[in-house]
Amino acid sequence: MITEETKLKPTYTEGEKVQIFDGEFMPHIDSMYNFAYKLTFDEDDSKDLVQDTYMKAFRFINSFQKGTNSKAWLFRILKNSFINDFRKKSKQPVKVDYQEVENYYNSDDIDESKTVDLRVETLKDMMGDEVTIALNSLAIDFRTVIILCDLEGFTYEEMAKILDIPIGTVRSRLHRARNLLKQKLSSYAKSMGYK
Amino acid sequence: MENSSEVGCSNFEKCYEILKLMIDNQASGEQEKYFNEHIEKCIHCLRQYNLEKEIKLMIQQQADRQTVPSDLVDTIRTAILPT
Repeated sequence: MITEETKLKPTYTEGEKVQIFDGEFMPHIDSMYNFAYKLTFDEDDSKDLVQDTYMKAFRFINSFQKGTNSKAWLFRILKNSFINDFRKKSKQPVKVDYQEVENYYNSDDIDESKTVDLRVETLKDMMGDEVTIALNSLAIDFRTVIILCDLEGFTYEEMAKILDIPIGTVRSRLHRARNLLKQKLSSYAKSMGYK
Repeated sequence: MENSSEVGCSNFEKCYEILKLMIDNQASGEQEKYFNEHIEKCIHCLRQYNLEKEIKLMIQQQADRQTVPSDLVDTIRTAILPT
């Protein structure tokens, strides 16, 4: 990640580094912490992950072009830290439903949504936080795209950069994540007797 | 003009591609215009659109935002920045 960007890297003075850090990086700490929490579901792990991300961001600050999208840049570092370093040493290993991932990555059915029987009225009848429970139960790849898109408001292009995948993959992964979510909500609604 | 009814839309594949972009505010002006005109007469796509929109809205409304621990900012600043 960093290697590609270092080709055109600026060299900041110590004062400029502090200015960028305070002015462009720190304002995103709330989003960063929430993203980390939704990946780890643990307060201490989230703090470590965010701190680690900011340490890396400062160390590689010359790879950051002042005035560009600092939030996406930081999210990309956090995501890479989570995958490369953190997942290995986390005290709470991330559960991955490989069958769920495999089924969906191998699926060629572009029109699965037709098979999900779920109505707006049913959704509105649900009183609790069923959507959040369903979201949290998704495999991490699917959960991540929904968090980035729906909660953090990143564009497909920004998500592609954060996740290091093509835009087409972002879109199909998002589509599949949402269909999985609908299936979970539909099953839940049926089990609870919602019409 | 495509045939649409309560049970289906004859052009659903195209509509659904645009619908997904609409949900994420990524549709072009032309796509937006097409879709908005289309759902005036296609209840199937309108229902699908409303469902997807509602799920996104519920995700946003139900998401519990965690408060950043008060010591985190200081810990980071102390570790990185010169005092």
